[in-house]
Amino acid sequence: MLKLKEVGQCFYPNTIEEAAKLLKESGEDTRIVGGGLHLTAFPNPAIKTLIFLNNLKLNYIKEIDGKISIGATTTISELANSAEMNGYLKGNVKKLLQSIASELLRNQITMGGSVAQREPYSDIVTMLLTLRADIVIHDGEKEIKTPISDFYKSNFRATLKKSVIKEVLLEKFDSTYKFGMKRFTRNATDIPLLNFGILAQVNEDTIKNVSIVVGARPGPAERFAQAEEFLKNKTLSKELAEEFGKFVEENVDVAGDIRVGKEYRAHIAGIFAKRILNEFMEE
Amino acid sequence: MNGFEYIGKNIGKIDAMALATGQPLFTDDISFPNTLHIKILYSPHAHAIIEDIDTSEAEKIPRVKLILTYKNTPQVLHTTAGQGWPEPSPYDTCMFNKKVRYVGDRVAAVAAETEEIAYEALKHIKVNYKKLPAVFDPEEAMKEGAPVIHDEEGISGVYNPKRNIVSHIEVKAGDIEKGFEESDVVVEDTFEMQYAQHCPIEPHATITYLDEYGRLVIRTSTQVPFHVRRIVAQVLEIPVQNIRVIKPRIGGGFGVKQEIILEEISAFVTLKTHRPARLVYTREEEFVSSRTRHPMKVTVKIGAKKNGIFNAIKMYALSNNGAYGTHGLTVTSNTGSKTLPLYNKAPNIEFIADVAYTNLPVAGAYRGYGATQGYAALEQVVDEIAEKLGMGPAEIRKINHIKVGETSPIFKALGEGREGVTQYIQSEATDKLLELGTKEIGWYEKIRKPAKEATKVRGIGMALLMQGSGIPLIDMGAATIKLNEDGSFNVLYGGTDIGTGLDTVVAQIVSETLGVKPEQIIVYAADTDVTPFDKGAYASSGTFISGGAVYNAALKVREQILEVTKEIFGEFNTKDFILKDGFVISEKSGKKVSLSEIAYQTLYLKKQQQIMATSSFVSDSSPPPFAAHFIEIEVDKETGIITPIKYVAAVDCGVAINPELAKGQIIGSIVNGIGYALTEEYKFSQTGKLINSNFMEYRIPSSRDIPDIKTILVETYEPKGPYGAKSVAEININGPIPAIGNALYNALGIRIHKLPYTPEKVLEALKNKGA
Repeated sequence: MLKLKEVGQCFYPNTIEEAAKLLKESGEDTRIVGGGLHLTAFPNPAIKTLIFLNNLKLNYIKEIDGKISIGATTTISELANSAEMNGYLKGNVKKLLQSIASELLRNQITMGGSVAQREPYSDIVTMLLTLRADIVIHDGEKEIKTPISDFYKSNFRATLKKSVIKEVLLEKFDSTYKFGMKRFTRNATDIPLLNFGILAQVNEDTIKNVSIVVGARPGPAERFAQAEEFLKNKTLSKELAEEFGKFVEENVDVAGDIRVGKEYRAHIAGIFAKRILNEFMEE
Repeated sequence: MNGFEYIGKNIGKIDAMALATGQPLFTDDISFPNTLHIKILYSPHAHAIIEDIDTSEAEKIPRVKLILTYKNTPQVLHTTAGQGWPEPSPYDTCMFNKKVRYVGDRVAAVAAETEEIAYEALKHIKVNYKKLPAVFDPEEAMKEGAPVIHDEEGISGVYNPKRNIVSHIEVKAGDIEKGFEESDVVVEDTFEMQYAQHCPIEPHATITYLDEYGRLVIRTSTQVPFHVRRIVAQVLEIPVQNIRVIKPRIGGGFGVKQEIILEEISAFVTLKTHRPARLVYTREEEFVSSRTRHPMKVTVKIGAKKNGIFNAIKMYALSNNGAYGTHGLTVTSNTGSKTLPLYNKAPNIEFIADVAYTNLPVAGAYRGYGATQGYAALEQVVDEIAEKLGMGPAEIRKINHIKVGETSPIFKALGEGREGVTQYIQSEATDKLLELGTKEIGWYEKIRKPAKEATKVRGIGMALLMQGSGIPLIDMGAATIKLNEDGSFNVLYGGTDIGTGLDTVVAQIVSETLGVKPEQIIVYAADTDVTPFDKGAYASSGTFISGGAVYNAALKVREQILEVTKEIFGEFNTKDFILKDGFVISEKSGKKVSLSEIAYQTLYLKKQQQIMATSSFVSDSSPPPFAAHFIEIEVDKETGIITPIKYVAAVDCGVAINPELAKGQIIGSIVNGIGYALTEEYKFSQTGKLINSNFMEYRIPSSRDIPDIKTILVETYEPKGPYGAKSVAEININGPIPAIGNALYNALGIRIHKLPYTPEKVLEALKNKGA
């Protein structure tokens, strides 16, 4: 049964300016098609207009001004398999990307789509928040760059009714930075029931510049400020990892749902927190 | 080498290329012009009387053709279980009932020009429900004063409807209490198995139409085409002769398509409108409103002498059948009858079971058919008593399992819904299964091996299993084989390949018997107008019963060919003749004639006749396959996550006609069983609504969840089976729950009594153990 039966117009703009203008003009029942996964998985019969990003050449991963720029229609697979990710944060981002969902879905999920949808169970959103990525959008006239946590604090869904995501920018962290992220799933191809990411600068075992993000809580991913505060200027050690795990378990903001209970979510967050710090010491 | 040309060989599946190239093979792959699309309205209440139902608004919607409710459909009490006759399941449902008994029970159906219109019309049907108190727990349901789920007039075959008891089973041998008194060690434990779904990738689908002569044709994804014909005739009160059922390729059944749950609706629409009709379940409907595994609570008590020999075994099973009693008696009979004979050394045995109605989705046949739940408990209690006796798990099983030439009183006492038949075991493979499996898993090296990471532990566990091959003296299959001019043969048989490879196995049996290549066998199966009767695909009977029928027919055709050859050769001792590579050859004279020539001669020239035979097969025993399963798991003590590392299944299925297909069945069953053990479960709201009716929330294993699985086929010869074969389809789903349970105990000293073994439960058990 055709689910998107009201779709009467499909646009293939050639520039991002054009795409943003079309979006502004065509109103509520318009959707941007990046990878198209959300549209096929959750087809909304009210949709009347589709704007395809195919011709915008947003399928890239490149280094600009010391940052890694990832085009909005780049898929998880493309990013995971890119040369840029090989040594990036000791290959830990690449490893994470390769564990998400299934090969088929990784071939379809795009960076822009993940940012725009901000599914509560998205691993990409947790990862980008942890890595303090910048989101670049185009409103038809100009590019606007916003740190991802500010982007989500704003009314981003309203913004994205008038603007198109162009790219995601990642900082090129030097070798003092460590990144780790873990996800709990019921089986291999499952959505995460909790994910937990840490990025930290570790200088002579002292933790600085730390960002910690918890996602699939089951609410959407958020920075975990209390935990960041806890780790700030602490010395990395087995004891700290142990202590930190307990702190996270006691303080993490999670809830229960039909998938798993609150207590288990808090527990697994604590275990992940501890293990990521332990892995930092092994690197 | 077995000396056979086609038996024991990995012939490629004869339907593989058509499947792989996406030919229109499945029920819903074809569409007829003018088809009406049917959608069903379901009850939002767990228990209610339909006080009134008003379809007038919905009928006014343009292009809505017909709306069905209990008011305008035949009120014939019947069972939806496609089983032998007389039927062992109760007559407790009509096509549409005035009372709804679970959230998802059907209330009405709309036939419209498109699916969209049918969906729209459902919204305009007005139903006044009088809500009744509901009961979801089988123990509560059987108590005095519980809401009575089936209080309608005229139902039959229910043990005690007033107490919501579908069936009660009691089988005894010896003196059970004395048996325990005289035992040195006694262990009892209880395990609770959950609701689960079959998840065939192709959901239920039916297309019905009238042929040129006004006869009803039902093209349907079923395991039981002949039972579909019989039950649709019964429900619609029309003669069997007016119905033709065609089974196309089937995208998996696992028992759920042994039910007649949408054929009669589609058929009724076609009969009323004279138009083709189509009814295809969505995944959600498949979860809620088709059938499930019977959730069961099973208690096993074993008493043993000091030397480890069992002296008494008692099993009590409480089965939840949901809202209707389909397969209630027979599934739960199997919980005892397919498990207890395995340990026949115990002279004192008792099996008691209750099957209860509740206001939850309807349980039915599911691979393993009650034995899965029985083994889940039995095989863990066997490990528990072994530990108490200071014996190894393999050791205690070796001295207690049934051996060649032996029998068990349970065989005779308990059949499928009636008395069974006495049978003697023909296989002596079981010790070898235990021995080879123990070696392959590396039992003695791994029994105390720590995991690499400090937070993880490894554990190994095992289970010993048996099942059956068909239902003795009930299941019958038949086949017809005829010779064509080019030396090819048509095989027309009623057996039902539901993705298992049965058609390929059948081609191999005919090839071997008649000395022709499988490419020259044209297998056509399960069309009630064209092929002879067969009970269908269930009870692990495909190769044994349907294959047995084909084998018998092939032997008859062979006789006819040899008879004709006598004259051609001028030789009269057919013992001198062999059939090979499409020829009959006299080993005495070296004379040779092709089957093609024989066909031309007999069709057009001399001794004119169609070389052709029909034969049937029924067995007076149900030869059990045996299997020993072993698993190595890794358990994360901090997260509670269980990861299966290696699985070994040593299996005796007689002669494997096609070893790769047999292995496919074994691996498929194991993965199916691992899903049931670790992640698959139904979750209900407080009002009895299923809340995880999709693949996002109901987690079946993917290829990435499959551990290294090693299958070991130990060949034995089953004298009653075609070329020595017996069954393999179900037995291997019975292993994962007890094997993982035993491995978990080996790893951490914990037992989880309520399935599935989720990380949350592992941590809880660890916490309780610590406390």
